[in-house]
Amino acid sequence: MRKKSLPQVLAIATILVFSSVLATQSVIAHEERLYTIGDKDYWITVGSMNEPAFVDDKSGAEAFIVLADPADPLNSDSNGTKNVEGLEKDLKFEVTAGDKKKELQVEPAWQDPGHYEATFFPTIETTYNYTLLGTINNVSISLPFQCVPGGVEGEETQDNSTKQISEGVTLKATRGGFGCPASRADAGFPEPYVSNNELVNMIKQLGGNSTVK
Amino acid sequence: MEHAKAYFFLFFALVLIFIYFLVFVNTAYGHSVPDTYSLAPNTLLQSSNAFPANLTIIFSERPDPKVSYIHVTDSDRNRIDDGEFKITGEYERQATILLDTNKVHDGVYSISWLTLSKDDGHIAKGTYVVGVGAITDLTQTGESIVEHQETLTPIIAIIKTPIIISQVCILGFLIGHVMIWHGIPRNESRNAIHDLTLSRFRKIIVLSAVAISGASTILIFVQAYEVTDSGGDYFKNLGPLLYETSNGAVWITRIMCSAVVLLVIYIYSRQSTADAKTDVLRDIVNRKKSILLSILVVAVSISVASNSIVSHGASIQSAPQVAIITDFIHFSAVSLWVGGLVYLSYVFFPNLTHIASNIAGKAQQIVAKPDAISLFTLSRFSTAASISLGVIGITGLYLAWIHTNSIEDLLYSDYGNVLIVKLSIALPVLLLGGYHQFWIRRIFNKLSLFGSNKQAEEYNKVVNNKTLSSIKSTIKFEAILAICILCAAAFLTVTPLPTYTNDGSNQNAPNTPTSFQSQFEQVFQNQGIPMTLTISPFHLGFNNFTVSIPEASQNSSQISRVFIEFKKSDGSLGPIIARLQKINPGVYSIVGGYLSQPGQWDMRITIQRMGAYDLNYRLTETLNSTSASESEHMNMNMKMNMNMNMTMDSTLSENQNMPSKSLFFTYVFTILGIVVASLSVVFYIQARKSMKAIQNYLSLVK
Repeated sequence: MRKKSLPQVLAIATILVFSSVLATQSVIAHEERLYTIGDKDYWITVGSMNEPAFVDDKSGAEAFIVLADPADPLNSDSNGTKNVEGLEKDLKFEVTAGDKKKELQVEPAWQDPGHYEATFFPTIETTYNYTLLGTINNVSISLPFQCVPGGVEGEETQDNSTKQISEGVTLKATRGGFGCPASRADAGFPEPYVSNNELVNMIKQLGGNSTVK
Repeated sequence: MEHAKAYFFLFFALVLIFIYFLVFVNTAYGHSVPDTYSLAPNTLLQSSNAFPANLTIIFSERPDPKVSYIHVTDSDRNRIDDGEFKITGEYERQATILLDTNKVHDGVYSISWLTLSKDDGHIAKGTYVVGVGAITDLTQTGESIVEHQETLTPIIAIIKTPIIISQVCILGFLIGHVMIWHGIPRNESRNAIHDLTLSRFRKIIVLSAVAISGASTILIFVQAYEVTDSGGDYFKNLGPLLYETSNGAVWITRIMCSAVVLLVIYIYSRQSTADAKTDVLRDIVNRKKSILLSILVVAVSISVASNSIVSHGASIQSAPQVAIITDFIHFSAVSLWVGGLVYLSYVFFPNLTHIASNIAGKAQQIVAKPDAISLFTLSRFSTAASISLGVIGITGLYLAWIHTNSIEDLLYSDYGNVLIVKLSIALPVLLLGGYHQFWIRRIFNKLSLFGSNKQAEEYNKVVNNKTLSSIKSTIKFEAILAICILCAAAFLTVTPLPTYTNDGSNQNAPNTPTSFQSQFEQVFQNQGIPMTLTISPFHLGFNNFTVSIPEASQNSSQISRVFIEFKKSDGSLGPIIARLQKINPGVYSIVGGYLSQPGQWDMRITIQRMGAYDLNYRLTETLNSTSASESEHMNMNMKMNMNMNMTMDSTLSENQNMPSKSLFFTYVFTILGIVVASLSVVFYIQARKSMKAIQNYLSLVK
């Protein structure tokens, strides 16, 4: 094997280091909250799957649950956080949109400890509420999250105010947010995109004489 | 060849480092002059009661609150502001000061502002007036009436000139030093050439590093003077400027890089291969020298990157990282070209005789002639220059395209005028470059007539001292002109960008809001629920956005939140999300400078409801830089795309497409870019062909 010169080695090492740093900089827009549940601190991060989510695309609610670093609990990015596995039997998402409500059992994400998913296809452009229900650390939880139309803009500042949510559950920090599923109307090409729900409504409007099979 | 690859890798690594910096640099969203005011210039208020308790200005670039200020003084020069310049809005562009309305009485008030941009480090200041009470015409008062903005460009540009020239020289010398001589066997000739040229090479690099440090230090002291208000404490501003602002960070970066350059060049000059007795020792010395040159390249590249990070490119609203990288590439290519020319003029030609005599005996006799060495060197430089000029042309066109919006911007703005001056100097330089390539080609064609018979006598018939002297002169002239371009570039870096207007008005003038009373109002329907959107006064700058839903049409208590999403249709700005405040049941409102630029805006109104789907309304509206009343007569194309089961386009007035100057502009620049790229490739192919043939003919490179 040909020996590489020192500048080459340095250059390659620099490329690798900075590439890895850049790779870790990608941030998904989600809402992060620090809760004390029972006697432990948890960072629970909730958002929509496959963001940015569009109407009729495969999406869903997802949660990343980690134990906060005891040395630096207010820092969700601390190296001392630990993924919390095995909660799939204890947790579910209640998803509401308009006057509709549905409970979805969470599934552990493939080869991603602490990551739980509940898949659904958003069929309408509206505000979605994801309520994480179940039990963590033997304490019952009901944690509501709501998407923001257009997403969250600007720098994510962390709110470290404390609030008692329920017995044994205290909110200690909040950061970020996540966007609501957007319409495909603006992104449709070459013909304007009409969502399934819009099609159904159009057919309904055409009159009761028509029959859809 | 191995080292050439190493330098390529190193350069690539530098680019990645630069990108890494960009990720963490909070880049710009505008330019450092007022976009919009809560109290506009030349406003006449009927009474002191109407004087606001605070004054807000949205700047088009992020002002640094450490040194920026807004001062409001009455006609007796008494301040009525609290002196606390606070950043209050999103994106850090909005600044507010509190005013003591108890001190307000009838008269003229001067509002002076100064900003140090966090984005490009430029300082801008200006003053405008407003009137209170029985003043019929502000232009009749003795105060400075019309707003003026000062950017103190000439002094700053003069100080910046040596910095730019020095950076170009160091980077160009390093690249030229490595590029021109690579491939020549080290132990036979290259080490000797490096040793011969070391004295002048070192002198220029040392002088350049000292010049960068000195000029940067003077620059920061002058900037401290600039930001110090009359009667203010100079040293009180100097501290924060040095240690708490982006300008201070750039100053520290340049000083540190210059220190590294000086240290490394000192160590480099002490590494002499002449003292190394064996090949092994010489290899070690050569390796050390390569590493030192690499460190020099890194240090000066960081210094150059500090320019790009605070360049005009950093202040554009769309993808500033691309503009910053382009600026860096542009500067690097300029360094290769201009620095290479200076290297040839100052380092190579004065040492030519020594170089030739040194090579004599180590290669064929014909090669030992100074003119042959010149031909070889110029052919190499010409190859690199062809590519670098292509890169300079394309990146320069891109930078000009993002900074100007129309031919008028080029012709009538200061920025456009300086750019034209710069390009006017560049033209003869390009012609000289073409002449030099033609000269090389001509000489080679004549040489090739002799075929492989390389007799010195025949060679002398073609290339002699006279031709060599002529080419030396033209190259020196080209180098001087190129330095003049750098001077123009220094002025360009501190010249304010043109303000884009579509109506041909003065591009340098700020977008001054006017007090038009008309407004935009439109009723939308979705799911049978009417919603009224009112934008008042509907002009560029601050507007009041009100969304009203009749109580009768639905239970207003059902509404949880109302948002408006603003997005420029061309994707250059936004989305910006505004959450409206509840004023009354069913009425939500917000005041803000969301419509900060003329052009077509997409707006989406989202009304969140409890227990029901959101109501979404979309509209596309063209906002001219002119008034609302005028804009009503202009083309106004509105498209409303409602959620759920309805899609409807409606036109408020005659739908005529506005002629898109920017599109034409883009076409022109695209075509020019293609032409430049094609010419560069053609010249490169020719230059490379000549270079290969000359190298082969002179048998210098193994």
